[in-house]
Amino acid sequence: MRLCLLILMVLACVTPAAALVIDRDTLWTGKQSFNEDVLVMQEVTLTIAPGSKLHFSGARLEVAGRLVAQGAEFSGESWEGLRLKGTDATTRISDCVIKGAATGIFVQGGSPLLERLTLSGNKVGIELRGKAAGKVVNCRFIANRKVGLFIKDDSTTAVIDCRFENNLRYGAYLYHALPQVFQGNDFVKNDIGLMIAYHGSDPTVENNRFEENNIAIQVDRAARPELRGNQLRANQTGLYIYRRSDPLVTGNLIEANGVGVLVAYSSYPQITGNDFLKNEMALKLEFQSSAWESQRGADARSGETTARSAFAGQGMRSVTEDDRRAKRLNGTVRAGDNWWGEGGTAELAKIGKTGNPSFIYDGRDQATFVDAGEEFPLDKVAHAPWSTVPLTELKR
Amino acid sequence: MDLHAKRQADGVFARTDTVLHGQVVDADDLPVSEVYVFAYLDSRMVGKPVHMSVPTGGDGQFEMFLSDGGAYYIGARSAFGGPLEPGEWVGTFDGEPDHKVIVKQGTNEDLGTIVVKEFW
Repeated sequence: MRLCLLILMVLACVTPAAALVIDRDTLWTGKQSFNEDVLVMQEVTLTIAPGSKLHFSGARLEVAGRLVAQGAEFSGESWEGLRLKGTDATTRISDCVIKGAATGIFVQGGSPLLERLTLSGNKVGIELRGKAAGKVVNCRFIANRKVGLFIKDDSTTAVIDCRFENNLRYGAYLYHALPQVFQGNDFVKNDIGLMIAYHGSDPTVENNRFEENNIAIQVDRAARPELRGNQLRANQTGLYIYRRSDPLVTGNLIEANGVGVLVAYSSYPQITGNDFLKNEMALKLEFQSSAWESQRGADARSGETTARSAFAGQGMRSVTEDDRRAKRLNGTVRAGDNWWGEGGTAELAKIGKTGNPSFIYDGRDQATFVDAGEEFPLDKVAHAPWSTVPLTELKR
Repeated sequence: MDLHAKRQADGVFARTDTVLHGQVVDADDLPVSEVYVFAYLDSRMVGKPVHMSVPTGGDGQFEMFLSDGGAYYIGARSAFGGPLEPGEWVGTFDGEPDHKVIVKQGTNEDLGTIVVKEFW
């Protein structure tokens, strides 16, 4: 009986603990406090019973073996958080609250199951790296100071049915990450709800909801995700496509945002099969020019693609200019086969495919922009053909 | 074995009598913790630094113990090694445009502040 191997530590009151290496299966219950790191060795299981309250001062809980925690609270002052190092799917943390840490849960590789957690007031809620897998399900990321959920480093962790609310910088940030599944999540009142950045960040982001964020989704620096079936409502900017990013944007409901989709700096997305409704401006181009890209794009990026010094701010993973170069530069951003609402459809019926729709801001509205003393033509949006009926099946 | 190689062998944090010290701050002049300060011989500041500090504490203060006097190029970042990642703090000593400081053997010199910014 595995339980027979457990060492029962039932503590009725707060008990200061010294540096602790856990080298045999252990059960924690009740209240405990730690002012030095706790290390759970490989092959060893630490079980934390429901109702436990664990307090760390300037310390962390590092698990190289297995952690099974349900219904516990982790908190502290100047504490680092939980570190899971290569833990497999038998590490399960569920129904716990983790707050006030540098990084609430830092996952280095492995495939832990993290479900129904609340991560609040941490600098970073959860960081997954080192090709981590596993699942983050039904978790709440609330008011974390930098990032709610940070997925890096070729990690494939599935993110399902989570809520990201009031995170000060990013709700979630995907950096060189390819989550197996990223769906059913709610992003509410974050500065940037979801950031997908850098070449190699090409996940499918499907059936998520974004409301009242400053920017709901930002796709940046040559990322090429597929954004399908999401609802972007009442954000300042629904989707910001920036710096040579070419996402596929399809099947989304983009409604009542300040700007529905903002395209900037040599980005050539494919925007098709979406419903645009009641946005102040449905689609806007800004500093977006095939001519600028042909003339200056590669030079502007040369530092990022050739330099290796982190101190020049350019030491990101190497990416070749061929990776980043736009493959098709004809001065247009493709946005055909979308539904622009009943009013938009009526307007298009009057002005036709060469007209200047009032809900699109492009080179028809502003012929040029100036960069380093030279004028460049602003691209135009190819909005034809257009749908005369709604295209998404999302609830309105 | 040259002085820098000996330094690596002795341990990069071992105390010496040639020291650079200062404070790592953000753009609002607030101290930044968990940042390493590095010294390079190469003006491009690439490859391995010859010296590094321990991470700054809550007050942003750092001390870096050097094996010898000479010209060093000084940078600071949250991690050592690897490509820069989003969320890292990074900056350089900007007392000189090329980030260089000349250190005399046996002195403890104040670099003042190194301003870092978060890279996203």
